[in-house]
Order: sequence, then C-alpha cells, then structure tokens
Amino acid sequence: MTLRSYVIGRILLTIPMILLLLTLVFIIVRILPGDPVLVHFEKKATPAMIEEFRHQLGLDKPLEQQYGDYLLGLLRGDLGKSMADFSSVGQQIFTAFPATLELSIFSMIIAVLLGVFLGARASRSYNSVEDHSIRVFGIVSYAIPVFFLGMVFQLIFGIGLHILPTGGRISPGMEPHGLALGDFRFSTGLYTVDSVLEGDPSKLFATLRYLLLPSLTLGIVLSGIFVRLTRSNMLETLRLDFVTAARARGLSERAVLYGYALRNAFLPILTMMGLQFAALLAGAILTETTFSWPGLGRYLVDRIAFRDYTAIQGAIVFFGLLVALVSLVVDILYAYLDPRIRL
Amino acid sequence: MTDTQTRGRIVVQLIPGLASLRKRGLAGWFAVIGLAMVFVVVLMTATAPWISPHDPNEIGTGPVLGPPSLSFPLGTNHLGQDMLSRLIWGGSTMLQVAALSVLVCFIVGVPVGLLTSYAGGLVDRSASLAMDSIYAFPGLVLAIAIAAMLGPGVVNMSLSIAVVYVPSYYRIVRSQVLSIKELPYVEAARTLGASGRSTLLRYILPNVLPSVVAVATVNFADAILTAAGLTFVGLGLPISTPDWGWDLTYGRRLLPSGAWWVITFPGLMIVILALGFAFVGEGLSELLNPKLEQ
Amino acid sequence: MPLLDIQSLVVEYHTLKAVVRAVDRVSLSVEKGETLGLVGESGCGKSTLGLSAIRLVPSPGRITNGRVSLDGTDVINCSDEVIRQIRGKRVGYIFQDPMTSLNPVKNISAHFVEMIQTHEPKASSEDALKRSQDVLKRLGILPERLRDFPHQFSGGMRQRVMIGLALALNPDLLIADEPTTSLDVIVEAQIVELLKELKESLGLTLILITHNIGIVAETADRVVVMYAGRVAELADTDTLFEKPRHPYTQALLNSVPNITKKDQVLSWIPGAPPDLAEPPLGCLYHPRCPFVFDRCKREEPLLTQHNSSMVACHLCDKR
Repeated sequence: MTLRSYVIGRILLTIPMILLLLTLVFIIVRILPGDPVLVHFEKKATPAMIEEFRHQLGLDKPLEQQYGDYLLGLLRGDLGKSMADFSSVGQQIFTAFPATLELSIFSMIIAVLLGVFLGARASRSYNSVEDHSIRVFGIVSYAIPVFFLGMVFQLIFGIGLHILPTGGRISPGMEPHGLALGDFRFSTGLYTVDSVLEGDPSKLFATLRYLLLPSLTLGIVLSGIFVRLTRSNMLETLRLDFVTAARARGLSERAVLYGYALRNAFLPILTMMGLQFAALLAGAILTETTFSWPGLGRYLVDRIAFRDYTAIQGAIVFFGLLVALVSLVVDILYAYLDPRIRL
Repeated sequence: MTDTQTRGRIVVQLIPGLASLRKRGLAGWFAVIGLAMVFVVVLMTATAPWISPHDPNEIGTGPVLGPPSLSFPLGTNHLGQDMLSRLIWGGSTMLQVAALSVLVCFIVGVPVGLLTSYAGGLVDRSASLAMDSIYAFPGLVLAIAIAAMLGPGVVNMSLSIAVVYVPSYYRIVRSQVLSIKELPYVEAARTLGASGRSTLLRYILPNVLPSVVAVATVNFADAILTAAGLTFVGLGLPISTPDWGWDLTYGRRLLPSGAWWVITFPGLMIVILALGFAFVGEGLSELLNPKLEQ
Repeated sequence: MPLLDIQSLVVEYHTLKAVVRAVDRVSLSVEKGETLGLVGESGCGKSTLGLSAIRLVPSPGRITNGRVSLDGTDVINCSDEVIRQIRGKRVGYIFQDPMTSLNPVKNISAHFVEMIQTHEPKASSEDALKRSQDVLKRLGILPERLRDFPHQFSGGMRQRVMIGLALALNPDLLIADEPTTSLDVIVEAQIVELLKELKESLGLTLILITHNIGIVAETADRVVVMYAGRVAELADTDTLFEKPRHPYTQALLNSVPNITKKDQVLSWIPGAPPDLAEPPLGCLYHPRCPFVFDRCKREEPLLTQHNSSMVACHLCDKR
C-alpha cells in the first residue's frame, strides 16, 4: 500500500468517527434529562424571557433540526452562542486556545525528556535499586492527581519560598505583542514565541517564570508512561546481538545506549506522544484551573460554574475535534516514518 | 459442567493464585503492597463511625485553620472541622463512586465485548468503531460532559466515569476473544457441536477474565482520579459529605494563608488509594504476562 | 608468556530456579601466533568462555571465580575503561550471526568510523573511512558498498564485514565465535580460507570457537574439547585427531560422516548433555559414556597429562 492510499483510507475512517463523536456530544447535551435553559436561567428570568432566550439560542426548534443546524454550523466554524452574553463560543475558544497550546507543548516536552531519560537509565541498571525506584516513580507520578501536585508546588515554590508565581500566565503589562513592523502585526498567541519575535528578553523571562510550574506539574504526571515505554523498549533492544557486538568493539556504554538502543526504540515513543494527547488535554483542564491559566481548560471549568450549557457543549466539541485531528496527523506521520505499517 | 460449576472453578483457582503471589518476585511484591494499601484505606473508611475522634461535619469543633497539634493531629479547616475526622470519613464517597463505576463497566463492557467480537462481521466492526470513538475522547472531558448534564450525586458521577472507561474493558475482552476464537481447541469444541453460548462461557470467558481483572484494578485507580478531577472541576457531590476530593478543591482557596495541612493529607490519601490499585494492577499484569527478562 | 591465560575460570548464570555453571573451572592458555580451536556441542560453554575473555558475559551470567589475563592485564578486575579499550583494539571479536550483530539503522562505514574514532579520538572521519576501505578491500568488499546498510548484504559478505570490523584496529588476538555456522558450505570454505590467510599475513593469534570439527582440523594448532562447561581434552591438532583419548572426543570424531568411506554406519552419541541446573555426580559425561565404571559416577576426573595430551578421564588414569 502506498502512503497516499493509506492517508486517504485513514481520513475516510476519521469521518464516521468524528460524526459519531459529534452525535455523542449532542445526545449528551440535548437528550439527557433536565432542561439546560431552565437550569441556567432558573432564578434570573420570567418564563417569557426564558422563551425569548431559548429562541435566541435556537433551542426551541425540533431536535432533528437542531441536530442539522449543529452539524452544519460546525462546518462553518460556528460553535454556538454562550448563554451568558450570547457571544460566539467559537470566538472565545479561539482566544483561549493559544494559552492551552503553549502549556501543552511545554508539558509534553518535559514529559518526554524526563520519561525517556529516566527510562533509559532504568534499563541500563536493570533490576538495581535505581531501576526499581524509577519504576515506582513511573507509577506514582501517574497516581498523583495533577491538581494536587500543582498545589504542592504552589505551596513550596510560591507561598513557601516566594520564588515563582502561583497563578496566571503573565504579570499585567508584560504581555508580548509579537512582531511589529510598521503597521504589520504578527503574533502567534504563544507568549514564548511572541516575546522572542518582539525581541524582549525580559518578557521572555517573565513568560517562562509563569510557565514553569504548570508545565512541570503536567509534565511530571505525563512522564510516567514514557518512563515505562522507554524502559521496556530499551530492555528489549539492549538484549539484542548487535548491542553485544557493539560493546565487543569497545564502544562506551553511552554510545551503545544512545546510538544503538535508543535510536531503535524511538519510534514507539513518537506514537505514544500522539496517543497521550488526549490525556494531555484532560490534564491541562485541571492544571489550568489550579494555576489560573487562561486557557481552554479553565474556560470550560468557568462555563461549568456558570451553567453555561451551550458554551460547555461548544468547548467539548472542540476538544473532541482537536483530539481526532491530532491522532490523524500522528497516524499519518507514523506511516510515513515506518514503511512496515502501510503493508 | 454447569455455569455455576464453571464460576466456582474460576474463583477456586483465583485463591491459590493469590497465595502464590509472594513467590513471584517483584511483581508479587507490587501486588501484595498494593493490596495492603487498599485494604488499610477500606478498613479505615469502614470503621469510620467508631474510630473517628470527632464529627467531621460539625462546625467549630476546633479553631479556624488551626495547624496540626496534639488535640487535632491533622489540623482544622476554615470551618473549624477536624481534618483527621474528615480524613477518616472522606474516602467513603470516592470508594463508592469508583466501585460502582467499575461494576457498571464490567457489566456493560465485558458482555458487549464477548458478544460482538465473537459474532464478528459488521456487528463487531461497528461496535469497535463506536468504542474507539469514545476511547479516543479525552476521558475527563467526556466525564465532565456527562456529569455536567446529569447533575451531582454518587450515581451520576459513577455513570459519567463508567461511560469513559467501558471501551477499555471492551478492548481487552475483544483482543482476547479474537485470539482465543481461532485456537484449535475452540474449533474442536465447535465441531463437536458445542453451541455458541457454551463455547463463550466455558472456553473463552475463563481465559478472558484474568486480563479483565487486571484492567479493572488499574481502572479503579483511574476512576478514583477521575472522580477527584470531577470534584475539582465543581461537578462532585453536595457539600455536606466529607470527601477528600472536596477538601482538596476547597483547600485551594485556603492556600495563600499557608494552611498546608488542609490539602496535604486529603491529597495524600487519594494518592495512596490510587497508588494501591495501580500497584495491584501493575503486579497482576506482570504476573499474567511475565516478560522474558531472564 | 602466553597472550591469553585463563586460570580456573568459573562463570555462573543466576536464574530464578537455579545457579547454572556454564564454565566450570576451565584453565587454558593461548600462545602468541597460534590458533586454538575450541570445540564442543551447543551449550557446552565455549561461547561463554570466549565472551569471558573480554568480560562480555551477558547477565544474568557472571564471572564468579578464576583469572583471565590478557598479555598481563587482569581482564576480570580491571576498570571499565581499561576493558573498553581492550575490546576492539587488542582483541577482535567475530560473532556467530552477522545479520543480528550489525546495527540495522547504521551503514557499514558508520560502524567502522564509530569504532575507529572511539579508540582513536584524534582520527578524522576521512582517515577512518580510508582505513576501513583498505580493510574491506582485503576482504573483497568494494568501497562503494560502504554506504550500504547491513540488510543489503548477503550472509557471506556480512561476515566479511564483521571480520573487517574485528581486524580494523590491528588487534593481537582474534576470537571467532562460530564464524561460519550461519553460512552455507561454499561460503564457509571461503571464510575459513580467508581466516587462514589473514592469520598468516597479519600474524594473528586466533581462537576459533565452533562445533564443526572439520574446520578445526584444517586451521588449528591446538584443540580444546569442552563438555558441559568443563575441559574434556586438550592436545595438538594432529595428536587429537590421531589418538583421541577422551571417550567424548572419540565419539565426536566418529560421528562425523566420512565422505570417502562407503557403507558407513553413522554413529551418534546416545543421551543428551546434562541439565546444568542439576548436574550428575562425578564425571559429567558418565551417563553417556560407553566405558563408564564405578569411579566415574563418584569422582570428578581432573585434567591430567597423558603423553602429549591433557585429558580429564579416569580411564586414562587406569592405564
């Protein structure tokens, strides 16, 4: 099978999955017991006003029509209107997304670096105290609720030692604006990138200070699976003959570990990164809440507190689509890198 | 052999299996330590009415935000409630939610997995597609979605969590069924006239169960963490029940005053409980698939 | 002074069930310039012995006793750095299966350059490349092929690459562990010729580990016969083949089909090698030995001199 046919096949497979996903969300939000509109506006409005709101939100139409509108709306990029102020949910998500993206990227980097490093070390000293401790770390990091770890960090570094901020993304006035050439403006929304584009090291430093604890928290919790994966892959590879042969040629343990064992174990790690994306998003929700990080996760939690059901639905749909897209990309990338998969 | 006899056989085989856990090196250790941890927590929760020094809900038992002291070893919270009592009572809801969700997952996931993958064909493919869609969805997000719609309460929380994890059970059952289905002795049984139902029950189910149990234990840990997550996000239980998750969540607001004890102990308990199950799961899965690490 | 001197070497594998002695108090020495053949069935410990010479016994195996001395250096107790320098530079090692012994993601020149630069950090890549080309040319591999990957070579070519790697840094000692086992007979003959020729021209000391007695007859000066981790017999090649003293050696030689003899009844050795987790008492070979008598079952025979051979057999003591 060629790469092209695999890609096409994979995309075709994604479509029914996305449809199922969207339908699932629709069912959950519309069909489960309870009238969301009623609950939201409960004590604030007269029945007449409630009917008006219902009409404005398009929730008075028959279910099938709502379903159709919902799907068609998505094709246009319309994720509904917020119950709070009838503004576009899509717009709000768009604003909040870069913060989550930035947090996710840094967390994933930390998770992979930490996980691979520890996993490699564990495989090197198989069955030793170091190996067992690292394995235990892998399990413990998975069992700690991410928000608990975050709070512990806040306690130690923020409140106890006062060296790192406990919340927020940046101090007021320090937001990087990105590239500015005359009238031309360009910013990515990622503060790290934007501060580099702007050429302001103090802003970069401030950004990193705020980014450190949240991404470290999420990174540690995610690293467990990479520790385990790297360790078992390396153990397998290290047993192979060419590793012994390499040692027989006098290569140092480090050269053997990184040049021989790790290179062969790398591809599964790449796939795992993609698979962990869903867990990353889930963890991001909790991390953002803990650190008051203004991303999608916190947006969702805020909307829950306000019982803003249409916004909640919009956010969840967005999450689902994001995950579907990322796994599609990862699958294609993997097929590109490893020809055996396509066969 | 009747169904009861088969079930009896399975249970009888599990018990000596447990006893031989210790012999199996590190994997056995993991399982034993994990079981001990879980047991201690369950015991503590079960005996709460007798061992709790104070009423966990009573406001003003002690000073407001009092640090750990002799009379209140784990300190008091913003309402003057004794943290130790709250700790002892606090595991109950979490255990209930987790147990219920694992039960639901089991009841739904295993039969669906058995039947659809045994049936094969379109039924299998569609079930697989549906399950994959759910599985791909970020767990917490889905649980949030359902919990937000259903409202608070133990049963609702359990259901939200159960929906998220049913695909895990389904998948393990399916992979086992698919591999066992084609084995010669199953074919032989079928040629000899065994019906589909009895083939499933007598041959496939006993082989599938051990792996399912391993998944269930890890799943318990996940359920606990997801339940805590739901609480943290505001979709938990009514405030009156003492709950570790709730203490953690509310404790967040108390952090700036430096009252570290309000979150540390409940948090640690959640870790211990989840870790206990995770250890058991780790040990079990290694026992079931001993790696050729010799 | 012998180039390689092994004294009472014991190598044990610690498994969950038992402790297995893969090598049990083996002593032998190899003089500079000679070719020593190390023969025995699969599992007799000859590969483990070879790996011990460069301290590469894979875990859970461990050297638990004895001494291995390479030109004066204590191989067992020296530092990791010292042994690392010995490997590849003073001792070249050829492995049995060249397919799995080469790194699939690196091309041939990378294998060479990496090794050369590990031992000679100052060597430039071009220099290393040139040297590897020279080595491989001697072995009949064209320079263009250096950029290819292991899976693009045939079995015989891969083995030549392995030989090239083993010889690239002009080692004093070459250990070849079953170098021809995975090759077909014709290629096998070529490789054997190659080894002989290299030995001559480079003045190598060679330890040839194999279960194929035929190769040993052609190339070795002396032969060591191993059984179940112990040395059964040690003699000059000619002496061994003309007058084998140990029953095991005799049986081995008898079981090789002779193409010139017509109507030959193939003989074999009944029974199987002992389970080293629970070895029999006395002589390890006694359950299969046609000449077994009482003493064999109780007492372990020691390696003693008989005429020009060293034999571990009570039978020889008797005479």
